[in-house]
Amino acid sequence: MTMNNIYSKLRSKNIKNYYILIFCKILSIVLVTSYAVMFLSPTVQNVFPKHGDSTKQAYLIFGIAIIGCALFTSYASSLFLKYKSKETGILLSLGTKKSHIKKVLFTELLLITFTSSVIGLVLSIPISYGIWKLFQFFIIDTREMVYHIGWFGMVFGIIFCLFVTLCNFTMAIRFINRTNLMDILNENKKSEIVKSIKSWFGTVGVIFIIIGMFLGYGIPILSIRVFNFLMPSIWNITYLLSIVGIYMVITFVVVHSKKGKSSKKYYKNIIPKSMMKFIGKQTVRNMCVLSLLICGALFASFYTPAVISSIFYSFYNNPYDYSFHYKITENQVTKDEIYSLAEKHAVNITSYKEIQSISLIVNGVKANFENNGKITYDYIDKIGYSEFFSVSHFNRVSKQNVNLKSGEYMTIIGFESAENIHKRFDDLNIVTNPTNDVTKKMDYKKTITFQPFVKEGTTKYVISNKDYNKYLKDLSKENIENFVLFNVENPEKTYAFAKELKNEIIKRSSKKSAVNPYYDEYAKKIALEKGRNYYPYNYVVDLSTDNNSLFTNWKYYPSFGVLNRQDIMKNMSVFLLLFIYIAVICLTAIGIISYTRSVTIAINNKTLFESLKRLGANNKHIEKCIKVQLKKIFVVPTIVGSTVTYLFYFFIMYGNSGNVTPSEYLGLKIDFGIIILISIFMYLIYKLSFRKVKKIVEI
Amino acid sequence: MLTVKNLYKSYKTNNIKYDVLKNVYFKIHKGEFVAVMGPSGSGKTTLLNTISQYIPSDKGEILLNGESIIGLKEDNLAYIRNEKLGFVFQDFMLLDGLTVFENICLPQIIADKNIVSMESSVNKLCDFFCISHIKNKYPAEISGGEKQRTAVARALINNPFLILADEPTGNLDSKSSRTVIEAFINAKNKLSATIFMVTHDSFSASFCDRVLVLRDGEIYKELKKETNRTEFLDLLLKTLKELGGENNDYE
Ligand SMILES: Nc1ncnc2c1ncn2[C@@H]1O[C@H](COP(=O)(O)OP(=O)(O)OP(=O)(O)O)[C@@H](O)[C@H]1O
Ligand SMILES: [Mg+2]
Repeated sequence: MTMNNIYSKLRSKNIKNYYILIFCKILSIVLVTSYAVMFLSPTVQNVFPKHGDSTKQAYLIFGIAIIGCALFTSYASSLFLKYKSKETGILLSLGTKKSHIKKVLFTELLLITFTSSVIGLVLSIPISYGIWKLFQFFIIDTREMVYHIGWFGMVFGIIFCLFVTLCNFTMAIRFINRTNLMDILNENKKSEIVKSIKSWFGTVGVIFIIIGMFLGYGIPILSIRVFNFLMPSIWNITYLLSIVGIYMVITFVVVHSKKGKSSKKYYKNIIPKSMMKFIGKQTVRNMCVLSLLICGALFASFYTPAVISSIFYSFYNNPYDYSFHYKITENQVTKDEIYSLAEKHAVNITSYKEIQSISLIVNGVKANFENNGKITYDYIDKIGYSEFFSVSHFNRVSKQNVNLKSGEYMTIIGFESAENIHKRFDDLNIVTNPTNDVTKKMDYKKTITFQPFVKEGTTKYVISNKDYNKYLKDLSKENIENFVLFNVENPEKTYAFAKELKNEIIKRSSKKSAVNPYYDEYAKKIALEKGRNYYPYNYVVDLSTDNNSLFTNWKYYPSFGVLNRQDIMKNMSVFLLLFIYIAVICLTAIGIISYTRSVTIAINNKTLFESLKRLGANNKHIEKCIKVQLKKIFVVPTIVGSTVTYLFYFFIMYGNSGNVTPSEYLGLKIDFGIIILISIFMYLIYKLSFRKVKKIVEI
Repeated sequence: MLTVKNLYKSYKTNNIKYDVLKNVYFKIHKGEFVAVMGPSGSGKTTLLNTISQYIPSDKGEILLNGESIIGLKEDNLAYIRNEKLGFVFQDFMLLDGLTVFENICLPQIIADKNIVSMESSVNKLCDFFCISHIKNKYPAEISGGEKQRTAVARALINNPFLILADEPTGNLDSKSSRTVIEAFINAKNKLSATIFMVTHDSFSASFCDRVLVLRDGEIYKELKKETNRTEFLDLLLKTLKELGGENNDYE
């Protein structure tokens, strides 16, 4: 018999631990690489705005997911080393050379790393492709988007592999290089006890969490609102306070045991409590990681309802299912044509309305971000065109009853409208007649909600009949637009009609109207006069019926609820895919980490449970001991993670607009459902872990 | 042969330092059979573990044949542990994945010894300790005493000239205890091995040439066998009674 026989015998006895490590490594590599491949695929990158908020969020959550994956592989390898510690210690104590043990251990690790990296990297290509296909099949048909593999994502995956390998080897080196052989021998019994803590610890933790969120998210918003100052991004560090708070709260829950009122209960739970304390530090760290991952998973999954709820809300609450507008110089579809088209599709049109608007030049504010973070504003008397309705026309179409005196105006807003640094509802002070350049001061009266007139690019206003008619008299036809609004019976079933009508509108539109939503005739004129480049002017909109980008890029794109929903979903589908995927990564990490933690607890306490049994504890009692511990591991991070995320999301929604809009409210309700789903997920993992633990401690 | 000079060792838990060994000083000659006795927690295991350098000591010297083993290179230390040292752990430390036979072989396999001679010497030891019938069983399948005898056999397989044994008779009936003690005396007589044994059992200790009594990490007393074994046993019992706390075991 040789040493090699001994090693292979030991290996085959512990083969399960090798498989677990390999499985975890492959899984983390597959998750990260396939995500990177997808994220960096040209198909996806084309959709992503280069510096948008969603991109930032995607990167942030991806960061969390990577950390989660890296963590669960390192947990798996620490568990692996733990299993190995006794044999390593014994071999060393009997005089095996450390260099020899190192060689064997590192060869094993290298082999494991190499196979799992190769398998992981190779698998991630078909998996990312499969997920794309699945997504295409179930969620949204993105047939026009041909999936190209983002080969650069493979580089990312390889870097991740190297990083994980480095972590594993560092751990192994630290494990083997200890001079205290008894430490190696007793590695699987090792524990760090958490010292007892004061009862204020938990409260302070909660306060820290809230202050951290307020500092991280609230202060930058306030600083812009109040001081016109843009916080540097280093300020995000203040979020760390929240993480410290999470740590404190979890430590408190794990360790704190009050004798207080019910001393019977205290003694009843003294065994599991003290066991928790004994494995305290690692458990606390573990639970913190779990909480953060739950935050990540929730944050990623909350994105979807936020988007979808806003689509559905505006779809079902929009007073008009169909609306579109055009300059009256255009030769656009007429009422009769619309009706005959509706007849062809057996669609019943109800409450058909037309309304005209006039375009006048308005004043405005331009926000400039200085390098030092300060925001300055330029007040410009004539910044561009806006549309104005007369109050009686508006009342007729919107079925409202408002009154305006000459010189007063109302700002039309939508369900989701909010003031921001670029735009406030009362910005309008001066109106200029484009024909004769006569200016007039205007007074802000109030806002009025009417969703169909809300569109990206411009703000629309309502003025008194007298003012309206005065302007209308000398305006050229170029400055008058016609708005068509109508409802249909069973709007969800009018897809074919909507599509044909949309195509007809596109076909009838002249080249002159092929402009971007931000295109402004006046701004263009000024820019050209000053010899400056006018960006929206250079942007050529391709007015063809199969151009999918018209939805976001064309100023006169009709707003047909039944189509919009599809368009927005299509536009968002890639985001949804990525965010759902990240949520899956986080959940995987959560599952594996909490499962391994439970197993570790079982291994660590096996002898204790055996002695308890000898002391006369029956299986039921031991089961309870285990349950109390496991429950903490699962329940506390779930509660902490979901509360923190929910609070934070509420904060964001409130911060975005200064109030919670109806669709945000709907989103929050759906988010609550997601929390319940994740709780169910945690419960299932708990059940699974509990079964395994019971098997390990043999009850 | 083995000299321990001014040895200090402390553990740190929760930032509080516990001094476990304080200024321990003794010498053991070649071929001497020495026991360490003392109350539980007095630092006996710690002393053994520092002598084998399984745990590093804080201060002091440990000389083996006149050479310091503190700060020795890993490989040299490994060589000493394998060839010169036989260690019996208080909790046996058998490899769960190997049979009794393989466990006993292990030091020889590590040293890459000849297989034929190895098998015969392992079989001899198994016979001697009456564990031949279980030599193909795994540690999980044998009794505490059998594990202990396996651990002792493993410590003896390489004919070490220093045996460090932590309560090698702790789990054994008097007959098996005698076997272990006999094995040590054999090693002492035939190979002039030096034996340093921790024990709570005064009867076993009475076979030794000398007994060091440890209390609170210090050598409290050193007892020498002057005349015969029974008188020595009485002396031991008397001393332990003085120490208090351990009367029950020896009445
Ligand atoms: N790893 C450790 N960390 C901290 N303290 C320790 C550690 N190992 C031992 N001790 C402490 O050191 C003291 C001496 O322990 P040691 O195991 O040497 O006692 P012992 O004399 O062998 O006792 P016994 O007869 O019960 O085996 C004890 O008080 C023990 O609590
Ligand atoms: Mg001991």
